Amino acid sequence: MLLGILLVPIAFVASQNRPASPPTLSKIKFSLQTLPFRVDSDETPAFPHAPATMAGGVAVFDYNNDGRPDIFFTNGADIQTLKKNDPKFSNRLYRNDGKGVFTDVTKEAGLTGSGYDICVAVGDYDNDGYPDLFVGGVHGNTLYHNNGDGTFQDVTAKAGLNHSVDPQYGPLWTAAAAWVDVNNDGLLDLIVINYLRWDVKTETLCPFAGANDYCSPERYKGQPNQLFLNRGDGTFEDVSEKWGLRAHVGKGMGVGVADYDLDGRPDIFVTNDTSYNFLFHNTGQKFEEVGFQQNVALVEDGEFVSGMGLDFRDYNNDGYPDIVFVALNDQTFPVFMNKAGKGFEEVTLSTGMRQLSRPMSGYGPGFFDFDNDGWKDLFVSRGHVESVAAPSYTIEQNNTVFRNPGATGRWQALTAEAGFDAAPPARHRGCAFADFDGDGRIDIVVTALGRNAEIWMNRTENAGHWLDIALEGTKSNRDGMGARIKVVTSAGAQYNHMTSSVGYASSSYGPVHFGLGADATAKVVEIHWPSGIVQTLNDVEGDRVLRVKEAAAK
Amino acid sequence: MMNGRSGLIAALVQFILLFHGCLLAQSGNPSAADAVALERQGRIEEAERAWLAITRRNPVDAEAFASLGVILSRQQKYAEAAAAYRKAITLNPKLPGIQLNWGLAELKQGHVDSAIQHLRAALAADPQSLQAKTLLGLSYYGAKDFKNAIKYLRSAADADPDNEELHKTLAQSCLSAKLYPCAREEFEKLERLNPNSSAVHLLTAEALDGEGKTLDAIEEVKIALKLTPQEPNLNFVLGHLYWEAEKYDEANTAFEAELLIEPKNAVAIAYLGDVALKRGDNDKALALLRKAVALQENIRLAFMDIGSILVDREQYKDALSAFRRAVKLDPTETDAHFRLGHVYQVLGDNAAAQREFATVRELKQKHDRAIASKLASKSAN
Repeated sequence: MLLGILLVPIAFVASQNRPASPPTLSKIKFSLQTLPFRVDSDETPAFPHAPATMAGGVAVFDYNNDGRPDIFFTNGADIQTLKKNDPKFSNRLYRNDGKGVFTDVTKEAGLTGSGYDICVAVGDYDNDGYPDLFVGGVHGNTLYHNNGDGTFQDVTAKAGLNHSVDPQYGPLWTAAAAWVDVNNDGLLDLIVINYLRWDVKTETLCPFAGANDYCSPERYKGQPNQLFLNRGDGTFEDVSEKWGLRAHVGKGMGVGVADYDLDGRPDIFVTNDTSYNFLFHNTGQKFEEVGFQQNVALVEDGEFVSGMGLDFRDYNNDGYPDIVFVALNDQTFPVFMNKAGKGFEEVTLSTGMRQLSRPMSGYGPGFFDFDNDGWKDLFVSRGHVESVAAPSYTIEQNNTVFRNPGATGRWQALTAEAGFDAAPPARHRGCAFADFDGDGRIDIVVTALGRNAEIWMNRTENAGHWLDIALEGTKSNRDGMGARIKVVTSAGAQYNHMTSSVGYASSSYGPVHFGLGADATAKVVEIHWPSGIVQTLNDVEGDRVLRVKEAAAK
Repeated sequence: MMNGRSGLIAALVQFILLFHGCLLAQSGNPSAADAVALERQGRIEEAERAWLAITRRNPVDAEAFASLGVILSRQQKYAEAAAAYRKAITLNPKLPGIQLNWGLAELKQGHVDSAIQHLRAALAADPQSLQAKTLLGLSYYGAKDFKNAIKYLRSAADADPDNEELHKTLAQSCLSAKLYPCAREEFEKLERLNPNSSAVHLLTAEALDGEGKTLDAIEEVKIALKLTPQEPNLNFVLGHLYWEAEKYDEANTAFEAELLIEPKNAVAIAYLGDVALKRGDNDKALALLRKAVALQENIRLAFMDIGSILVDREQYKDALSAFRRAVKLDPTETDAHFRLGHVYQVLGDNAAAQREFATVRELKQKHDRAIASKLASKSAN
């Protein structure tokens, strides 16, 4: 059904420095700004404990709806007690003033936290217009309701999400989470990805090169993932078994949400560390695990790699979401191209990613168009999981952007070229993406173990025009999570969708970013809402944040 | 004249002994002294007969049995020697040296567990015994208990730093235990003792490779090659190291050099094929890989690569055959099952594809359970 244009007139952010039309090759460039926040995972080199190398999730979201994305960092705790018994372990919320100043407002917001936190997922689960936070950790998770007044309230118990001890698998270690409306009822449900069965008292030493290092995940047992259906009354129902998730036990590291077969239902991809990945196809009433059938369970040579963070998004502009995940040195950053919903093909080798990424170790990837040329590039937060140096790989690494050269080309790795050597190499972990200064170029915040957080401000020269789309669902969930967006310019069509799940243990809340290249106007913006409503806007002026409210069905 | 006279006397003594020995040989009642004399003259078989006669005459003479054991060992009749030692120790558990000799006899027969038992007893009786430590170390090595092998061999090697064989065995133990720094240290000592030993440089390379120091390993193999350029397999090892380091041009050169020495080295041909595949020359790769498996049909890598090439060419049925061969060569490796599954998928045989994928999952889960079990028993101990 064709719907009329419905555009809620809301002030938009005008670009202050409108970029000129891009030349054939833009120079993707970032400059460094640091924040005084440090991930403190309570590392104990004499006897390393697994969670200490896995901390570092970060979220960007506009917590107070002032139009500027703010930053929330998760943090560790005392490794023996899993309690934040020192202010150095506090989670932190920084309010963004849009001019490069980030103010610590953690205490006022009530987001200090109490346990050993790892990951974060942003979503407005009660559709009140204020994004809420789910924080996952080791043997304890927290749901924070955003009160809309700059404060948050811990509603974990009330919501029914305080069951962190599984009767069969013991205390759960949550490594990732995502908000997704699995049944398209307009309410965001919560998928929780669990990692390893771990106990500080029974953990063993893993000597390496004369020291002790973190043990391989092969030494631990995996844990099942969880799905909690939103009842709409502030509570959630555990439907993990009913929806078929519990039967598949892995060592979950990352989660991505996208409708890979365009059947109108969001599907879930989960990376499993040193095991085969899961692709959960949503039937509307349960998930079927189809990783092998769809050719994303393993990389093409059949190796079990250390899958870490991922992104599940269309990078080649064919309308179908693709998958990238990252791993350790010699394992590459595998890229799987979606073959029109009929399976995936690994294109790591043919697109040059194999050769580029082989010496690298990654934690968090994200497909974002950094030079606004209409093609999503790939950022990877880099660093090894181990802590003891070895001859064949480096522990501390610089971050990298891989420039997407278009439909038929090969990736180009930009590390020093993009300015990432302005910070010393580090064990980078989570990353999140947003336009912090409203200039239309996507910036990045990255955490690193034991180092100050890095904000990489996008200073790409000759970046193209852009359009950010902020969705407001009415029949669909208010965030518009799962909405697929097509933007057409003179160069062709490009696609994206609304999700806040990207990278490792991290969350980027949007709006959904598009680079328009040389066009100052998008010819068509087409939004496929989860409700099934399709909304089309024509001749949309670019270089602004466009707020779109879901039209009523006719 | 003194020399001439002393020489004459020595000859006379020998003659007398010989004459006496002959008499003994004809006599049915040799004494212990007689047996010893025969042994000194190198008349071992006769000495054996003498000891046998003594033990028959006096079946409770522990020392006679012990001596019989020694004589039998000298003739490599280790099973009989062991029996003699058993008898000796039964008669007199405190007889010195028996456990050591018995341990040696067992070791010589390959009965490493038994050897360990006796040699441990020998060491308990004489904790400083270098012989016991050495033999115990060798026994543990034979039993593939490399941790204990290393412990005793290191002790022996420290006491005998110029003993190349000891260091070699110690180095091999470390290598087998994947204790690469330990292996490398020993090989470096061996290199100092014998810098011109190609074998030592080669083994050092293996240790370095195990530590992930592939480039250093390459340098060691190059030294070995300079020492023995025509040694078969050396170029192959070099090629393999380059292949591991993804230096395919150099790997190619090394494999070709190997084939000049050993034209029918099927594994070298297979790796040449793999290099060609990695360089994108599928035609050349396929020809080489097929040649390799025609010469030697158990090269798994070749079948995996053949399968990959045939998949690229959409010759799926032939690819099936190749991956099936790979599975047959090692059904516990998941990669071939995984590839097989995909080919079945393309051919539309989803049931077969699912079976292969199920196998991948089962093998992975079995592998995980094995690790968990190993760790559980390690912490229980």
